[in-house]
Amino acid sequence: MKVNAKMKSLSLAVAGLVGFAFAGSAMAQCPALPGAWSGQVSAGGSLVTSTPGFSGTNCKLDAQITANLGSASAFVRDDTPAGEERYRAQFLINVDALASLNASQPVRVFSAITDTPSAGVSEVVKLTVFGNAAGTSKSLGILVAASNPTAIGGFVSSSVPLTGGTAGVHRVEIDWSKGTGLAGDGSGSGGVKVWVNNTTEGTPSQTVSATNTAWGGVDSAALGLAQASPAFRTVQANRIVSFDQFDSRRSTFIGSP
Amino acid sequence: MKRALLAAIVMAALPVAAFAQTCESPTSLHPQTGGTFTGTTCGGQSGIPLGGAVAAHPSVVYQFTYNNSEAGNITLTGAEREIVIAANCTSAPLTGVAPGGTLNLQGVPGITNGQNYLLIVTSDSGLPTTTPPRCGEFSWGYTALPVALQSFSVE
Repeated sequence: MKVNAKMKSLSLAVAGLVGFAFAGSAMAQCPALPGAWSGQVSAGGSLVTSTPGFSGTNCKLDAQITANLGSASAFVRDDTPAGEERYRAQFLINVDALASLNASQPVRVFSAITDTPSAGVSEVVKLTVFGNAAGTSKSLGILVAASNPTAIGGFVSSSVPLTGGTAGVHRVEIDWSKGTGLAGDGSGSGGVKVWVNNTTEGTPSQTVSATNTAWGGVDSAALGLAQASPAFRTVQANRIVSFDQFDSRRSTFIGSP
Repeated sequence: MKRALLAAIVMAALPVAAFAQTCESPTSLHPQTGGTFTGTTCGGQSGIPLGGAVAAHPSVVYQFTYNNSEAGNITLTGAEREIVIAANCTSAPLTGVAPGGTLNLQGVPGITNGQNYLLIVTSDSGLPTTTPPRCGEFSWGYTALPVALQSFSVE
C-alpha cells in the first residue's frame, strides 16, 4: 500500500524537497536526484540541487529548459499519492530569473495527475507561470480539469498575480478536491483553492470550482518545468526556476512552516 | 473598381458588442483590411486557458485570417486592457500588446500566412481577479498596408 489512509502526510512527498533541509552547514552536500522523489524527467532540460535553499533550508531544486524541443521538461515526480480525492500541496518557488516573462511564455510548474483521466485530460490541476503582455508582471495560472459547460479544452481556469513573497520566493499552496468538498465540508462542487504568499486558510487567494466527478483521484504529482511554450523555450532557455519545501497532504492545511 | 479599392483602404470605425465574442463564437474580422474596434470586455468570457497563460478576466474574442500582404500594426487603447494573439483558446499566445504599444504581426515567430488566429482583448493578467470582474472599455485598431494599384484602364 502506498500510503496509510490515516496518515496526515503523503510521506515521500514530504520527504522530497523538505528533505533537503537536513541538518548541516550551508556547505552541506545536497542529495543527488531523484533522492526521495519517485523519479525525474529532464529531457531538453536540466535538474540539479544547489545551495542554499529557501527559508533556511540547505538545498533547493533548480530547473531549467535547455533545448527548444516541444517535449523539453525538467521536473521531479512523486508517485506516492494513491487515488487521493482530496489533495493538498505546498511548495516554494522563485521565478525571478525569468526576465520580462510575457503572455506568450507560459510554462507549467506543478501538476497533480490522475491515472483515471477523462476527456483525454489527466492533469486534475496544474499551475503555470506566465507574464502579462508587457512583460512587466508575473502570474500563477490555475487550470482545473472539469466538465463544466464553461470549460475550455477540458479545463476551467483562473490566475493569481505572483506578488509579495520574500526575496523573490513565493509560497504556493493548493487544496484540490474531487466531486464535492471544495468548501471543506463535503458540500458544493469539486475544484481547487489556491493560496499565494497567504497562510490564512479561510481566505484563499483564488477558488476555482470544477465539475470533476468524471476524473479519478490524484495518483502522482510533478514539480518543475514542463509544457513550455515555444516562446518560453526560445527566450527563457537556460534560466533557472528554483523550488523548495514541497509538502503534500490529504486534509490538513499546510500554511506556515 | 475604384469603389472597391476605396472600400478596401478606408478606415472603418465599428462599435462592436462585447457579447457572444467567445472562443466558440468569435467575431470574424475577415475580410476587413483595417479598422478601429471599440467595445467593452464586461460580460465577456472569463478563464480562457491559452496554454497556461490564462486570460482570467472577462475577454472578447475576434478571429482573423492572417495575410502577410495586408497585415499592419495593431494598436490598443484602454487602461488595464491588453491583447493577445493565439492560434486557439487552448494554445499559448504567439504575441501580445499592452495599451500604448504597437504590435506588428509580420515577423512574429510561428505566425503563418493563410491561417486563422484569434485576437483576444482582455485585461492585464498581472491584476488580480475581483468581484465584480475587472473589465472595461477598449479601442483597438490596425492598418492595412497601402494597396498598390497594378493597372487601371477606362473602357
